[in-house]
Amino acid sequence: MEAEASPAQPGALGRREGRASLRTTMSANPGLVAAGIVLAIAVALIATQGLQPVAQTGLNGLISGSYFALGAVGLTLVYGTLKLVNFAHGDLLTFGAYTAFVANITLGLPILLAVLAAIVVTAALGVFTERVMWRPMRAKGAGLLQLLLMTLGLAFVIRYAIQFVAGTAPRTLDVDVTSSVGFLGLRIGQTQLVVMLAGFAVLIGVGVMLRSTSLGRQMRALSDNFDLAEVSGIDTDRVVMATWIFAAGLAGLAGVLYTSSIGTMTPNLGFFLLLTLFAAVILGGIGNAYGALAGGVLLGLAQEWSTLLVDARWKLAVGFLVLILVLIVRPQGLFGRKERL
Amino acid sequence: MSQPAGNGDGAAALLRTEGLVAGYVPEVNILDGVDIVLHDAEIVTIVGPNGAGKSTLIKTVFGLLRAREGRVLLRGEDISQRKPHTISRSGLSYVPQLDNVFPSLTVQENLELGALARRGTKASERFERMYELFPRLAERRRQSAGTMSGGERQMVAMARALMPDPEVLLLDEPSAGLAPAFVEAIFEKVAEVNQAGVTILMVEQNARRALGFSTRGYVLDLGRNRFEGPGHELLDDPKVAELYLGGGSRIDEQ
Repeated sequence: MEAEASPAQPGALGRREGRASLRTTMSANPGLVAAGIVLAIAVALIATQGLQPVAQTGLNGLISGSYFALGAVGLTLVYGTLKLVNFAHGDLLTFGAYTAFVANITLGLPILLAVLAAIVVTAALGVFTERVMWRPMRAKGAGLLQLLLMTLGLAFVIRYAIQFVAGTAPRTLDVDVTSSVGFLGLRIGQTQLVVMLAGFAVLIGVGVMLRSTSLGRQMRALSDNFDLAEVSGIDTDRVVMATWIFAAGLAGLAGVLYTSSIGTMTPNLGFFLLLTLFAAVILGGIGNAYGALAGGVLLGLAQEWSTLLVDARWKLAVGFLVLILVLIVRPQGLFGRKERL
Repeated sequence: MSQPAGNGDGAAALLRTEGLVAGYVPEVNILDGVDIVLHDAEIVTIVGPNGAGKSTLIKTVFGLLRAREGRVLLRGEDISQRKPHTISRSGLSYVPQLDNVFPSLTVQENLELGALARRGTKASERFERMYELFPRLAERRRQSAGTMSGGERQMVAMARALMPDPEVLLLDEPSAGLAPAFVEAIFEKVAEVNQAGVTILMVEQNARRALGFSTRGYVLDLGRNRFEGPGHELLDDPKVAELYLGGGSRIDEQ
């Protein structure tokens, strides 16, 4: 079968292969393409706005990008694996933030333990919903619409349960929101620096885990093709459970990072973040975990950089404008693949 | 090995279905009592008209569909209530007709997932063996499977299924939708895999071509097996040819 592609003329083949390999590079390395575009925009902004403001807003963008990405990766994995559009995912972030509040303020535990508690308890909530709602619903062959409405319902239940217990007044964690550090003419809040570093450390960890571990490969395989994963010898029930632990745990962490970064939490925080998380997921290519990581960071940068050109009030709209522009050029998202028939 | 698949003699059978009944919708049975037998080192092809239940049979053997009645015996052990991932760990591998690769994963990653069901042999040896069998894949091990051509993807799918070093390989229409040059190549690979000691159970639309190199064949119609015998005998049987092989010209055109 190797003979099938035998060349007629060496010259013609060279040209053909040249074009094909460029296309392959584009579709094999969407990350490089995306990074190139970001770089180009940064250069254009620096040329018009000056280096310092672009670097400062870029730094702010990386801070919000880190929790966007952590929230989005779980959302996309759950969608990819279970075809479940989880509208309750934002409220998992809220749940994580308030769990940290209970541990940190109510129980007086140190903030690191509170973060750990947020991750573990939110992951447990994810497992609980899988066992009590999603697995039984799948076994009964529930349709997409029923599942969608259940996630919406669950979102309200979590949000109002939190509101019932904690009230609507803004709450704060015991973190330092006033001191800041300066370097190279940039300023960043101390806590925000920690948030950004921790966020990216976890993001890299997640990326490595998805890429290089057997569990990560199995998660991506389920996200690609659930039935084929099962016949290939993957224990799909086990991987689904792991996906929930992973998705909900990261959502809990993202909630704490968000709260620490902006200073306060309210029961609505996850609901407001949800649209941005969906945008990050779609921007990266729905169901693709690397895509969600990149999409989150990109949206963070886009939102903050936009404040150089328009008032900060409009940054959410700018984020979505970027989303729309990318989708017009590449409907499957940055890392998504064109469906082949 | 080409003795007619008689009754009894259960110990010698590698894979056997007994009165298999299955279907997708309640009350509607696509399989209505199928009995087939597979012996060591055979290539057995199942042919039959569209809707006869050929793919359904393979799915039921592999546990993707619950058997409503009957049993599936692998070396005498009933596997009909097991889940597919357990079955794939007991020596059976399956290549679906469509969507048979993980498109966003690389060739190498596709094969690594196949190795999860591995029994015994070292994974590194299996990789080498697969890249020997499919040299084309060796060049492209870092390419994502979704960007490959139909024929190449069929090779990835077969290699993935062969990674666990299975005793039996189930193939659902391996030649469907492929260019003629690839059809020939895929059938050659099937024969080569069989030479290496893997028993093959295959469903094919390309009935004449497939029966031509099969040890035995079954003709399935309306959810039951109607005819069986050595591949060339089925091809020469005027009744089979007239009813199921389109009397000659039509199938050859496919």
